[in-house]
Amino acid sequence: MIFRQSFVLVLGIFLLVYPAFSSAEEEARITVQWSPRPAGLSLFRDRSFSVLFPLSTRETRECIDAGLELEHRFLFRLCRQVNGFTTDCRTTKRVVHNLSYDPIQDAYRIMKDRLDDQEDPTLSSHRVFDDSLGEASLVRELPIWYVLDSQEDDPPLLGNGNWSIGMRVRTTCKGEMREFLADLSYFVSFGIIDIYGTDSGCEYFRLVE
Amino acid sequence: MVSSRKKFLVWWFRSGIAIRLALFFAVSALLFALVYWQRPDGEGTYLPTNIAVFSLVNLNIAILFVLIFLVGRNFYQLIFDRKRKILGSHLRFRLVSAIVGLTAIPAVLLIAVSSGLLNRAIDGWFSSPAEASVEAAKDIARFHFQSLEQRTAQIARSLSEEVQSKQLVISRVEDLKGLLESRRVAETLYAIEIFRNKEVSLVKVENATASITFFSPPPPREESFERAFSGEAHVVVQETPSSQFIRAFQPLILGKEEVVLVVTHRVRSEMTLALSSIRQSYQEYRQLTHFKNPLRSTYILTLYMIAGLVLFAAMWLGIQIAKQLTVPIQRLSEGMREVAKGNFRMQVHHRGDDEIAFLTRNFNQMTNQLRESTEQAESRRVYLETVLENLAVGVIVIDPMARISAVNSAVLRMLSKQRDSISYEGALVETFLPIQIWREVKELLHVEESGDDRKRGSTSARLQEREVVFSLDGREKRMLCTAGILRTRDQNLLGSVLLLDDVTALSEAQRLAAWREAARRIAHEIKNPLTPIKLAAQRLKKMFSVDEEGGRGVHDATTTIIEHVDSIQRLTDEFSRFARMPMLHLETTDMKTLVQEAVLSYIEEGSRISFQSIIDDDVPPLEVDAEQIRRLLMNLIENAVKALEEDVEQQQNESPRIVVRLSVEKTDGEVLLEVRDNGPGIPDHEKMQVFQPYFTKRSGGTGLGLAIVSSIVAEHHGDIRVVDLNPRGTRVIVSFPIFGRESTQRKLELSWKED
Repeated sequence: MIFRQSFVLVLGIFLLVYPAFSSAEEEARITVQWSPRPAGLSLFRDRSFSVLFPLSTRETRECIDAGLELEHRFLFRLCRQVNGFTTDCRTTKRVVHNLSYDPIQDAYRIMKDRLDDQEDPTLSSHRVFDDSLGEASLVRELPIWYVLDSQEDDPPLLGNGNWSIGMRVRTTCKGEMREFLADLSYFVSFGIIDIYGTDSGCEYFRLVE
Repeated sequence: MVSSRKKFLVWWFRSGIAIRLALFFAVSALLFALVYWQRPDGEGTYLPTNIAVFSLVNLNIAILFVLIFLVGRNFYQLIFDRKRKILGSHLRFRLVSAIVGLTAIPAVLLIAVSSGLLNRAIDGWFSSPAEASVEAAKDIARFHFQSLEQRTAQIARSLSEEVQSKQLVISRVEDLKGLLESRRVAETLYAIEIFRNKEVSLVKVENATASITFFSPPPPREESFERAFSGEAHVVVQETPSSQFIRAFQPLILGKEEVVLVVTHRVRSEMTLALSSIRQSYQEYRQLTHFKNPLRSTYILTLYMIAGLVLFAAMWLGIQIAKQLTVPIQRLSEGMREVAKGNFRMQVHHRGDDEIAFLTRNFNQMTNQLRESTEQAESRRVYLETVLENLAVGVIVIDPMARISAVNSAVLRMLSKQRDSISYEGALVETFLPIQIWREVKELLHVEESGDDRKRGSTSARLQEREVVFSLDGREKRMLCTAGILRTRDQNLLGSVLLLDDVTALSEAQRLAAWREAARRIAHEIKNPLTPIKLAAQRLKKMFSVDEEGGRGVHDATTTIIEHVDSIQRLTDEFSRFARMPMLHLETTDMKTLVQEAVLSYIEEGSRISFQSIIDDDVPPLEVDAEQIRRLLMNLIENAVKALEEDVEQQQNESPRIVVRLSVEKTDGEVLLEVRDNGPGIPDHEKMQVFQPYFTKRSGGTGLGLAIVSSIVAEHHGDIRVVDLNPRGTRVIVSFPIFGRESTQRKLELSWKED
């Protein structure tokens, strides 16, 4: 009886205390900047917005120095609140920024790719780490039509106000070794060793005129 | 109704190891799949949030702790049970220790060796030579690439100087083109271009493969143009899936116009591949370096966890094996305890076909046989006890310490003791028996102890008999005592047995019969000469008249002779009556009427003695000889009258009284007839003698009255006793059984009671 009670006590203390020892780093927030509406623009889908989700300098540096590639994945989903419980959402659209270090060029390479269009990814190099970090954290001028299911589609936004774009950013440190190692570490350690990265969680930004 | 949870638990504990293992693996696979599914992977439809991952981590930690708890608990339970000396705990502890030891020691050794080898191997991956060679390769590749960049930048710079020195202008496009082309070919460049702004290209010379899209470079980036047009000469690298292009941007004043010279050099495919290879190798090496410690920790952690699982599995296996042995043994032990307590119906259940099952079957057989033997012994014991209890002869079993082992109710009845025979077990025989009996019995036992039987080695001694006369409750009793020694075949003394047979009634009957025979013969012998004697005397009386000389003397003499002959004749008649007790004619008789008649016959006016009859209404009719009962009543009342008359003459009693009481004693099943008087009473030493023939204290008494009464009572299977009254007087109590001859056995069970 005493043994059981002691065990329960220890486990309870651990579970209470564990969150305090877990990462206390303040989570970054998604920042959205809507581009000003050009004069004469009548369709909402032609408008664009920029999204910034800052990368953690420490974690990015660790990932890059380890020879791994950092994937900064932006997920967008257009949704409409039907009632208090249900939402009507379109297909999720993705923009991926991959940041890696080229030891030959001694430069930080960024590959940006909108996965749900036909365009090729764009590549850029930066000698300075901070510049590359900033560049990888930012999605510049993403048109709203990219978030829609089709280019012709235009949500009945005006006079409605229920539309919003749900955004989520996941940062993952990837590498050839990583998957196996991450899987092994993850399973064997029952999830304690987790190098899959961070997840911002979903935030909704209302579409306004 | 059994709850479903209980049913599940019953099924779980009854199911075999195979099923449990299968379930265990199934659940583990399910958990594994769940973890795998939870793993963030690409565009999985389910995107776990931090909370979910955190919860999963905590769940895994909790599971780990549960595992540690289970191992610890099992271990603690083993030690605790062993300390408490619970049956089977030693065996279980030894088995588990053996199995855990057998698995743990090699596992620990293996882990220790594996850890060492692992550390060495991992350290070997990152040895100095390996690192140096990787770094050197990277440096070489970087140096080469930088050289290419510098060369391209140098070319751009020298070309812009050349263009400026030749003062070429935009309008002279052909000249420009020729210069650029010549330099492009000379320097094996891919393309040289002059931009007015980021959109307008003034001059462009390029490689022939530029027209093939696959080999064509991407357009220069805006920021590169911004930098260049702001006056910054710089080099950028742009890639396509197939090639790498080094672009040098050089600001240039062409005429008076600010333009940007862009020199594009395409890295050769072989070089690109080589550089890619070096890059990849270096990155892999960096990854390995980065994950060296986590990798090491992971592998070691894996080893430890496997060792932990092996330990737990070994412990669990040991416990299961031990349980398979100890649980049946425990059940057997409990069964033996129950059997020791006397529960012979105990059966132990065990499934299987092993040695334990064999032992269990034998145990069950043994208990069945024990039960049957016990039941047989019990039934024999009950039979013997019943026989003993129903014997008319008293039986006392005595142990070697002269204490009572057993006594039947006949003894208690004979000796007027309480009926609970168990309360006498263990008591000393000396204190139980009347002193007269004990004296005789003790002698008998001593005779047996010193007898030759012991030497002869017989299993039981020859029985010795002795008749003992003693007084009990104011009555003389005759007991035939028979004693015997009990020995085993090995001549061990078990004790002795004493048989008591109440021969009082038999002895009295024999005595009475003897007296009657004597009385009959005497009466017969005496009677015969009396008649001629009387006749002769009468004749003589007639022959001599009173007036004649000597006639008076003859007359008186013959008169005396005749009177005495008459007296003797009366006496002989009494003798004859005593000797010839008539046959009983039993019939249902109302005792109340007999008593009333008898009392009434004595009541007469002027008599100083008062008579009273007290008759209970519920006295039932009895199967008696009415004539004999009348005679009995007459004799008893007559005796009382005679005693009171003497008392009155001696002026000892001023209010003589005789009470005749008839009552029923339902408890004993008897009808009591009492004759009480307030006379002088009968001394204690004479109480036993008054019922004997010819005992009388009165002059002229025959001494046969109470003997006849006693005889009548005996004929009716009753009982008679004399008790003193307080302050003076005598009670004669006669008891008749209500159920007559058919239940003479009941007479033996009657207890003596006094009012």
